[in-house]
Amino acid sequence: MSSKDIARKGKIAQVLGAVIDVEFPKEGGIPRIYDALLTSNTNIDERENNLVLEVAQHLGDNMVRCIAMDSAEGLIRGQEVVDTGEPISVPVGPKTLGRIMDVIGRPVDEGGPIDTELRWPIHRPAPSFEDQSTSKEILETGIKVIDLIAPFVKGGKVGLFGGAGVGKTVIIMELINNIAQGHGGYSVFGGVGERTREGNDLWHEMKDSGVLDKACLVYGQMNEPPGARFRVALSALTTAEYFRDQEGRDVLLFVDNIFRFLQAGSEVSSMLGRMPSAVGYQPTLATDMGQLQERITSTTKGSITSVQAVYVPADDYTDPAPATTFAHLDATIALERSIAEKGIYPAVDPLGSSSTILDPQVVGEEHYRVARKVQQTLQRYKELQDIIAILGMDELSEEDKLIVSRARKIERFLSQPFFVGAQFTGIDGVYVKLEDTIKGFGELVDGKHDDLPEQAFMYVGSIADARAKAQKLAEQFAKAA
Amino acid sequence: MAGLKEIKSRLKSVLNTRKITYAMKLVSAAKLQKAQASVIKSREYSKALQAIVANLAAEIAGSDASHPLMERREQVRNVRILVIGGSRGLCGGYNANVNRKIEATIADIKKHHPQATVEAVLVGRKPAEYFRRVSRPIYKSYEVLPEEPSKWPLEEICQALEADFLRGTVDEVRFIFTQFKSALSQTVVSEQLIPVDSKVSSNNNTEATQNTSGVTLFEPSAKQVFDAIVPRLIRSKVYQGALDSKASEYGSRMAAMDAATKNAGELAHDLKLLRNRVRQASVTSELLDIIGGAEALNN
Repeated sequence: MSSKDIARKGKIAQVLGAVIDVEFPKEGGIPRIYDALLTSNTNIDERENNLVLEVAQHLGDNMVRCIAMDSAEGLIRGQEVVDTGEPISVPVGPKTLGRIMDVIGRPVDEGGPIDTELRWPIHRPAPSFEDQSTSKEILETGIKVIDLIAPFVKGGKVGLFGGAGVGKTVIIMELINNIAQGHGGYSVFGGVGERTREGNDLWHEMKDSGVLDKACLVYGQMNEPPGARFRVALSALTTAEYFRDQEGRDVLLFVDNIFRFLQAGSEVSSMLGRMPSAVGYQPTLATDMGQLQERITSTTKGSITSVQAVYVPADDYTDPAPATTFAHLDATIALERSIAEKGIYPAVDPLGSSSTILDPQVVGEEHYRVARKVQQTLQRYKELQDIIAILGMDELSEEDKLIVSRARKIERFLSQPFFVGAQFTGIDGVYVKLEDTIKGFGELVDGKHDDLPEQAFMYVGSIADARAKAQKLAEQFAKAA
Repeated sequence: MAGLKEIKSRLKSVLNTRKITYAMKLVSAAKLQKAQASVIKSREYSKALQAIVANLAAEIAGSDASHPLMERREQVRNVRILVIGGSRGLCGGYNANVNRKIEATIADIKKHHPQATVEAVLVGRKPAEYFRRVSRPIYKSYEVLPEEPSKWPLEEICQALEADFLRGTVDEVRFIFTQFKSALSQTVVSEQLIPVDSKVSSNNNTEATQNTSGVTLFEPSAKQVFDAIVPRLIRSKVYQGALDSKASEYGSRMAAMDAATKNAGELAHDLKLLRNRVRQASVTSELLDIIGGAEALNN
């Protein structure tokens, strides 16, 4: 029932925060679910039809329940609403590169209108089973702990899990710095419900490093109402899908933060009249997530490699939101508060992180062996920690003492100075090649560096850097003594 | 956040560990009392013996009368070290300290006699394990020993050492043991056992040798007197060292287990708090779910 020419009109019947009920006349029918409606809200600005509503439910009696994509304060019952007859769509294609858009595709970078006829609706079917690609290839990130323990899959999905303030956004920024700049292809950044300042920083950073021309940024940050935060992930994804499906490119999609997408969904869920499910989340949690995640995939035409930050409420990984997200990912990077508290950044938990391609068939025997050995050593150290706390180091057997000393070195060697953190730490960032990472950790677990002090491994790149730092420390010590 | 079950099982294991360390502390304390008494009793005797030898030695200092076990050799080619260590762990730094002293002693020997070979006679399982691990040569080791130092084969060890020294296959014997000062303080000591150094009696705190200027009459002869007294001095030193070491081990274990009990208590306390917090959190969230569900149904 396409009805663009009719321009169906209705009236606002109820305003409940971001959820708005619209009544349509008995004759003429009602808009479809997901269709966009337009109305004017003078609280936003003076323009006509500046507020987009998306139909979420049919209530019966010609009433539809909609989610507002912008501020709903200032709306009046009885106000006129126009049906566009089609879902929300966003500009796609080369013209979006170098620009910042909001959830409905309006430019927000004061760079004039996005001059393109190409618009795609943000609701699209996921690629079918036979279209999906199955290649397995490692994507080097230059971050030691990630390359070693949870290597990224080219065209795969990666989640960065972590509680508040453990460094998710910093890692995303570093990945953009390391991958997007070396990658040469297009990148799309979806800012979902995070700080506006970070979005601003990213834009400037991309501009300075010259990757902005090959990147499209879509923001619906914390200041936006839940409707915008709920849909902006889809908007960002749609622009990435265009490059994949129409241009057959390999696209990088960064989303910070996918949890906010679920959170926004939960904010509107109760107002839509759905009964809250476990921990107060929307009953449609898994569906919401599935519909988004299934679209982020690589096809035979092109690929989307996505990196998603996932906030973990109260550091509880069993919370339904992160738990639902886990299942969709090829690699999970878990950030751990206890590691951040030790001052080790990136605070990646080597025992909680994993990747489906950490498999000798894909990454090679040596990489697999070293990664597993590193995990074994750290696992043993963790088990011994209670004994050490109670009885002290002296009571450990010699093998265990060696394991503990190596584990402590490994822990420190997993830290790395970041390019994006250079201005805060005063240490220049390092990009460590995968082969150097494997070589370094391989030698460490094989006991070739038992002579170096622990501090030598803190914030260095390759194992050669650690040797050099040990030398420097020894000289300093000699001078002081 | 760790699961409730995980925390509970960890708490249980910590509490069990605490019980064990507490029991070990009490046992060590009881054994320490006994060992301490015998150390003190025996110390009187060793002190007196050492004083006698020192006096006698001073007496004959001028003359050429001496004892082969007291003769220092110019060329030291083979050194033997006699080590008394523990046979069990869980005694804090006791064994580690002995091992450290062994290394220091060997380094010291190498410094004075770069050419010398060092072999060890080991009493106790832990020093033997250490020697095997760092692959140092063991001449002989006694690893299965009764609790009581008086039942140890110390006589046999001393005889063998003396015989080897007299035969010339060994030029020097060092003795490493842990000297008992108090339940909380022990020091590992390394001293020269053979050739017997009459002047140095540093460790057992004998009063400075009184130089009796008088005339001591040796009956039947100085040689016979020394023949009898020097081996006895060696045995007394070794036996005293063994008693000291044993008492030190108990003292060290008592202190270590006391600290461990305290640590386990603290850990258990933290775990209990964590357990309660997690339990309460799950109760609260379940309640919220139930109330929320009921409210939604009411509407």
